[in-house]
Amino acid sequence: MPRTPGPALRPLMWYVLPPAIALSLAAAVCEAWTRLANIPTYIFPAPSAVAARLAGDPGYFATHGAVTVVEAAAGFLLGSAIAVALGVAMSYSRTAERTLLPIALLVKVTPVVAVAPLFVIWFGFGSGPKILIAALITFFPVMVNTLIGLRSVSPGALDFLRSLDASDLEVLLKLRAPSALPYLFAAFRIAVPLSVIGAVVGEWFTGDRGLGSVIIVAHNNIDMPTLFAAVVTLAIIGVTLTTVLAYVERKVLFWHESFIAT
Amino acid sequence: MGDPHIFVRGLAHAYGSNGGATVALESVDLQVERGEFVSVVGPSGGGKTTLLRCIGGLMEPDAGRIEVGGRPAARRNGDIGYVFQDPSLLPWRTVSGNVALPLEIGGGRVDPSRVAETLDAVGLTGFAGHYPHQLSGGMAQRTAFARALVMDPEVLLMDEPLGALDEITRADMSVYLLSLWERSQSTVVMVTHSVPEAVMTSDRVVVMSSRPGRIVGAVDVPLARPRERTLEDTPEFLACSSRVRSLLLAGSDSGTPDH
Repeated sequence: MPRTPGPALRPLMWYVLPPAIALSLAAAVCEAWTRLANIPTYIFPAPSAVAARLAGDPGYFATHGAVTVVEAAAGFLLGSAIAVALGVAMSYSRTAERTLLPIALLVKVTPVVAVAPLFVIWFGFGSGPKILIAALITFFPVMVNTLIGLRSVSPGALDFLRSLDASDLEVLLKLRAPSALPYLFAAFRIAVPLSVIGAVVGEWFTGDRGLGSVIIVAHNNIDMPTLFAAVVTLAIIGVTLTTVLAYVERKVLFWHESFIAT
Repeated sequence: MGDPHIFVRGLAHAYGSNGGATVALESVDLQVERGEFVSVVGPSGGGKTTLLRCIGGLMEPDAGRIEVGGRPAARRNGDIGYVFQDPSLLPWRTVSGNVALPLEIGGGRVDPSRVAETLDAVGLTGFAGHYPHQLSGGMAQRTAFARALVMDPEVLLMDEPLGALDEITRADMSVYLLSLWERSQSTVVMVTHSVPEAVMTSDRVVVMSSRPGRIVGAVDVPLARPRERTLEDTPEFLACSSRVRSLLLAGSDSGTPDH
C-alpha cells in the first residue's frame, strides 16, 4: 500500500475558516456601508439582497450555471484534446514545432473577445460558439506544457529504455506521457478557470442560456441583485472546479516531488 | 578462451565540432571474454562512459568496430542489462513495476514470478509495493540492479553503479554486487572511479587516460573467488591496487588520479 503522500491533510475547517471569516467580514462591511450610506440597489446591492435573490430562486442560477459549466467543460476537453495531440506531434518533429508554434502563438495573442462575435456569426446561437471559444482560450497553455512535459524526461530513464531497444511508442507511453503529467496539471490549473471565462464571454454575445446571458440581461434591466448573484454563482463554480482539480492532481501525481512530504 | 564476448577495435569518438572538438576516445581496443568481470578506471572525463555507451549501443562512435556476442553493438536484442550511476527509476511505478519494465518492452508478457525472484535475489522482497521516493539510496540502486538483471542478460554494463552511494553502503554493495554476479555469470563491464572497488570485483582492471581517452594498460586480478571484504588488507590485493594506481599516474596529464 502506498502511504498517503503529501503533508498530512488537516481538518477541512483549517483551510475553510480563515477565508470564510474574511469574506464574511467584507460582506458585513458592504452591508453596513450600503445601509448607512443609503447606496441605491442599482449602483451596489446590499449583500443581503444578493443572498435573498440567490436563496429566492436557486434553481434559476443552478440551471444557468449548469449550462455554463457544461459549455466550459466541453470546450476544455476539446481544446485540451487538440492541444495534447499537437503537443505530441511537435515533440516528435521540430518541423511541426516550427510550423505550429507560431500559429498557436498567433491564436493566443488574438484577444478571444475580439473573435467571439465572429464565432457567433459562423457557428450560430447554440452552445457551439461558446464551446469553441472556451476551447480556443484553453488550448495554448495545455499545448505548450504538453510539449515541455514530453521533453522533460529523466535522461537516465530514457537511456535505460533505449538500452532495452524500446520503440518510440513505448518511450512515449511508458516514460514521456507520465513525465508530462505534472506539466499537464499545471496547465489545467490555468485552463480550467479560463474555460469558464470563455463560456461566459460566448454567452455575452448570444443566446439566452448560461450565466453570461443572465449577467447581460440583468445588466440591461439594471437588476443588480441578479447580476451579483450570477457573479457569486460563477465564483462558486470556479472554487469547486479548482478544488476538484487539485484533488485529482493529488491522487494522480502522488509520486511527484511537489506532493512528497519532506 | 575462444571468441571474445565483447570485441572493440579502433574505437574513436570526439564531442563537439568546428575545431572545438574534445577527443573522448582514441584507438581503443578491448576484448572481454564470456563471463569475465572487467572494470574500467580512469580520471573523470576520460571517455569511460563514452566507451560503455558505445558498447551498449546507446551511441554511435565516430569510428571503430564493436561487436557483442558476434553482432554489431548497435543492433541490440535485449541481452544487455544497463546500470547507471543514478538509479533513474520511474517515480510513478512501484519497485516491482520498475523491475517489470524491461519485460514489458517489445510487447512481452510480464511473468510476476520472474519479478518476484529477481526482487528476492537483490533482497527487496518486502519492498515490492514501495515507490522510489520511499527507498534509501542503496535500495533504489538495488532496484536498478534488479531491473537490469530481470531479463537475465548475457552482458551487464555498469556506469559507476555505486558512485552515488556513501562510503559505507558502497563497500557493502560492492561485495553484494559480486555475489549477484557470481550467481548470474554474465559478462560485466563496469566503469568506476574507485581503485579498491575495481580490484575487489574484477578479473581484470583496464586503466584509461584522459583526453584523449586511451587504454594505458590492464591489470589482471588473480584473487580467488568468492571474494570477501577481508581481502582488502591482503598483500595480493594491495599489490594489484598499487599496479592500477601506477598505471593511472602514467596515463594522467596532471599526475593526480582520483584515488
